[in-house]
Amino acid sequence: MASADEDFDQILNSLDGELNEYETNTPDGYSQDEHAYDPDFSTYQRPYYGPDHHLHSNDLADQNGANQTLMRNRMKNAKELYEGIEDTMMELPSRTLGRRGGAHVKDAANHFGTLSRNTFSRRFGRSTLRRQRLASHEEILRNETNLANDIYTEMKDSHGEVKSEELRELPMNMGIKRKIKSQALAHRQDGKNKNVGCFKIWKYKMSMKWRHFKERTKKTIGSAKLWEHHLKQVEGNFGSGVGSYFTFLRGLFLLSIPSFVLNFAFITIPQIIEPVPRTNPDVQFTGEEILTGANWLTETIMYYGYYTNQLIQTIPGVYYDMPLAYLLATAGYFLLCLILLVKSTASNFRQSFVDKQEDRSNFISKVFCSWDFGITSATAAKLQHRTIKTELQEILSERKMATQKRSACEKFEVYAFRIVTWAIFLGLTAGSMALVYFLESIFIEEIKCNLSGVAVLPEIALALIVSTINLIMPIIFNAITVFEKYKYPRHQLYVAVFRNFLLKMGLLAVICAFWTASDLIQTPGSKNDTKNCSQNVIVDCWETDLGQEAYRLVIIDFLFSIIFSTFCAEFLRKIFATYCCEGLKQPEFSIVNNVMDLIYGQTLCWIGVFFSPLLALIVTFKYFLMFYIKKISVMQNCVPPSKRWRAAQTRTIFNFLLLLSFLLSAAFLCVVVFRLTPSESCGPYRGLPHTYDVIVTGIDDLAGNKTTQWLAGIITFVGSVWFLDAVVAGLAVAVAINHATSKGYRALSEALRGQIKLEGKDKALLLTWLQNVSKQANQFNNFGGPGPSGNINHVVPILSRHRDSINSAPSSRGGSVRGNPPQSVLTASDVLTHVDPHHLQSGNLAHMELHQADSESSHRSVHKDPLLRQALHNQQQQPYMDNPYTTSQDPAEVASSYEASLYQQQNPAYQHQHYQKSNSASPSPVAARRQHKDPLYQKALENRSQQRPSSMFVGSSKYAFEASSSDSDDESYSIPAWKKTLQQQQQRPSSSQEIEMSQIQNTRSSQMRPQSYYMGQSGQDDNEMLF
Amino acid sequence: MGASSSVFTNEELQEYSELTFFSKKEVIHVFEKFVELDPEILANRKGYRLSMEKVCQMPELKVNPFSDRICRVFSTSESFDGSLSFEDFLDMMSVFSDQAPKGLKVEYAFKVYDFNEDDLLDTEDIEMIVTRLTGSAGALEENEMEQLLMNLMQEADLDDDGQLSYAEFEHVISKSPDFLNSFKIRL
Repeated sequence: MASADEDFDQILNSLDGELNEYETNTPDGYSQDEHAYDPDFSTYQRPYYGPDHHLHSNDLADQNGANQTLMRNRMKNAKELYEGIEDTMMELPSRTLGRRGGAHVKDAANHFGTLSRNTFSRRFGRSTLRRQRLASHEEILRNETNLANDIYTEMKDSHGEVKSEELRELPMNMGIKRKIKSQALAHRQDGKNKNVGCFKIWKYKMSMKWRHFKERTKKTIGSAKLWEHHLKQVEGNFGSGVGSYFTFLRGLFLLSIPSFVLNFAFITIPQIIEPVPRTNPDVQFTGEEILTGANWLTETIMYYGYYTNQLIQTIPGVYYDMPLAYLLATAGYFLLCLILLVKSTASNFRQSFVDKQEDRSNFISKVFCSWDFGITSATAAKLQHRTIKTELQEILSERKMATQKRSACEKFEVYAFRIVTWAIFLGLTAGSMALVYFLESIFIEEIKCNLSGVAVLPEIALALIVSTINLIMPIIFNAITVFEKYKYPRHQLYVAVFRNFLLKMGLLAVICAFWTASDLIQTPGSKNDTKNCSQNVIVDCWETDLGQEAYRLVIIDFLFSIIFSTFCAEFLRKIFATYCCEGLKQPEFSIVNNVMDLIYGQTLCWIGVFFSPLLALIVTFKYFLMFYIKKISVMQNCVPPSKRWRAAQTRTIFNFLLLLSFLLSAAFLCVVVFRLTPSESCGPYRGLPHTYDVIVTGIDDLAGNKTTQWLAGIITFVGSVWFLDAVVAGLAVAVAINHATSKGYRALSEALRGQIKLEGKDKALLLTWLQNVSKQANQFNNFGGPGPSGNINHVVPILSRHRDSINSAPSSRGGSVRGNPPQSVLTASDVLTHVDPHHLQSGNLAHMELHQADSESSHRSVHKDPLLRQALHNQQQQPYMDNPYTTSQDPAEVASSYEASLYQQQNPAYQHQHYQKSNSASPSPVAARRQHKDPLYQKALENRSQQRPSSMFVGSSKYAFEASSSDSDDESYSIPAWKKTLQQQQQRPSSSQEIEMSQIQNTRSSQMRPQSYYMGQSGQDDNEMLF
Repeated sequence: MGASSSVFTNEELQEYSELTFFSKKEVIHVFEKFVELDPEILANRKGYRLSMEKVCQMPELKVNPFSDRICRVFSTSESFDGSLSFEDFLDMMSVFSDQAPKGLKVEYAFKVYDFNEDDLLDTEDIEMIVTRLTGSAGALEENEMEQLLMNLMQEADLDDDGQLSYAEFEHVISKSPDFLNSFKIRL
């Protein structure tokens, strides 16, 4: 030990000299604020020193100027160090394992970042929010004003102003929001004094006005929601699933209103003003017309056939072109529907199918989204508890089942069965379609040839049959779907819905095809003559006939849904279940069937509205009644559904089906307008070869007039093949680009997900390192022997004792250390619990966010605990490097490095090392040994160090030893071994240089920051003992 | 209406309307709801705080298994007893309203579910959520719970650290379209 002491003194002396040299060579001393000489940390604002830390640093700055000079010198290398760290970071799993795609991900993420910077910056105040989240509830309440200030600054920084809609979306309480707002207002008043151009003021005012207007309308529309109270009642008692039926119904009701308004205003009213005399004035209103829609009603404003093909000229000089108005009103309505439907379907899709892996989010939605916050009744709540429990158990067992794969035999069985059921379905559908077609051709003869007789039944027979099919078939379809053994009940539901939809559309298609078939569209008389009809009074007007058919279908469907699906299925069943049959279950509201009925009804309306303009009125009225009837029935008769309804996804399906049926009916109408010949004796288009010819003549008229010629030119151009071709080509390109982009994003998201996984592994690795450090501390406690792992607490007193002895050693430079030596209890669990909450978030998805606040607050919470702080640094370093947006340096780094240097100066052990290193350039024994032990590792390190200019490490090399010793987990080394290694190294001076570099790498890999001191503390203690 | 509209000046209403997702009319409606819970408030005017027990008498919260958490999250009470002033109540209704954006709702849902307020949903929190969800139907068995936690973490825990941070929570919730439907209280 004596020789060791001598060495020690020698080192100290030489270091003294070195430091003096530094002092004399530095021109601007160190009287400046310690923050000031920080060229590389320009973004750094305020290191968090605890109060006493601050005191010490000032004191020490006076006394130990050399420390600062040293540190300052090192700071000059900070940038290089950072680069070095980045290289070291490559050792982490996320870098090494993911290296294949790593660079790609980073680039892509950068690209993504620039693309969506707007979206991200819209989420201003994230870091403050983050801090707020980190702070406890109490802290928030106490620091309201500060928080408000910070958020205000942040919002201002990101936008230049504070918008009220953003304020509204802040997850803060009212008090804070109000404070921010008042700040914004105050600021605005300040700004008024500035000289701003007239135009700017005007622009600003306009944008303000527009924003206010938008907001007002939004709120008015939002608050003027129809039937909100009823919806709330239904949802409160039956959950959002049943509620979604009523929202759907409400949507349809609202959708039918514009149709009614358009038709009434532009088609019906002009016709009422100038009525056309009836061709058959004897027909009287008998009452049965309400059901059949025929006879007296035939020649009213109800149907297409009644409307004139003349110009209406009530006021002299003003013409009203009825045919044009008729077509344009319908077209306008269809366009409106198209826009609304596409919009709602698209937004639904966006919400529901964000990710393709929807099946994976099973548990998430079951746990986090299963409670309906809107329900109010105790029974519903109880039921919901039960439902959630059963469902959780179900999916758990399902998960187990999913792992058991079906055998080939079973698979064959299932698929064979499915083929059979599809065959049955197709057979049934085709059969019903054929039946409808056949019956229709029978009934039409009956109707056409027996005009004088009262023939209510044949007239409504077809509607009755169609409605009956619609009522019964879905039940059969549902029944056969149950046997198909779908893996998920959801798929079963989708299949049943799809079949139901196909059937309904098939039936409607048959009816439409029947009326538009070419053999019916003939000149009046010719067909009926061949059928031996004695009288042929009725004008053969197939449009009116189709309108009547649609009318009947709508009416009968409405009656059916009231009588059967409401009265029988709900009311009677409830009565029976309550009073007669004990076994019968209480009725539940069948969402699927009811919604499908609505879709069917709406399709009918779309098909019929061209032929019967007032059908829109009837449908509107029907929806209105339906809402109340259904609501009363549900509230009185039904029990809440026993299965939780995934409202969002099914709503998407329903919306999509509605859109599909709309497109089908629109296609049908297109055929009618562009392909078919209108009846020659009725309607606004009599005499024209095609309906759309009315537009052609209209354009011709425009072209004939000199003042409107340009308009005709535009319309002709827009309607030309060239233009349409260009539009289609443009759309195709847009679709292709979008598709490619979405593909790219999907790949990127996949890659980023992998990256996140790897970063999780980084954290795990870093935590292991931390644990190793603490374990090592434990080992030092036992003087190199294998210590009892897990019992680390008692390390601390010993550590601090060592430190005390260091501090009080006479050779210690600068007297005793005045700071609080690290008193922390570093246990693995401690580190884990402290590190986790703050750090682990930063590596997550949010790694695109700035985490300055995050780190700040963690520093605050552990600032008394330098060891821990260092650990945190090391951890936080990692997401920082990853974060493409991170521009800030870690604010606390300066603080910690500063402290580190202080300790280094004061610690004789450290100086010894420094001396050794600077003189002999020898590696640390541990690192050297380690290199021997692990050739692969060594090689990797060497490779890396070769890539880098060695000058970079001038500043950092001196700290290598302490860290590498801490890195080691081998406790059995001894002086001879070390000396031996040393000799070896000295014999190879060139390689020793390299090895030193690799040591530094070691240091970094364990610490991320070479200037860290605390982790190496134990290493120094050890050294001291060795000496 | 008369009584409640006289409680607020027009400016106050305007401010409330600006800071929440409600129109002035709706703010008054919220106030009426608030008064319904305890008619004495009217005499005490605006500064009055409604105790957690009273707030939980609201029909939606009465059956809600997380009612106490909701109160705590929205409360600005200095004594941390979960009592709500009218402004807190208004905040709450605003967050639960239809107009509130998803991000805001997710933020508050996270707070509500974070029982131990450590800004992380750990297994402890999730167990608590599940236990409360099953509520009167009885808790899940231990092995079921374990399996559930495992599966849930598999789905949601992107970085494999055994707990859900806010970012992870936000991410998985964004994939569950049901969330917006469920995290909603109609006025």
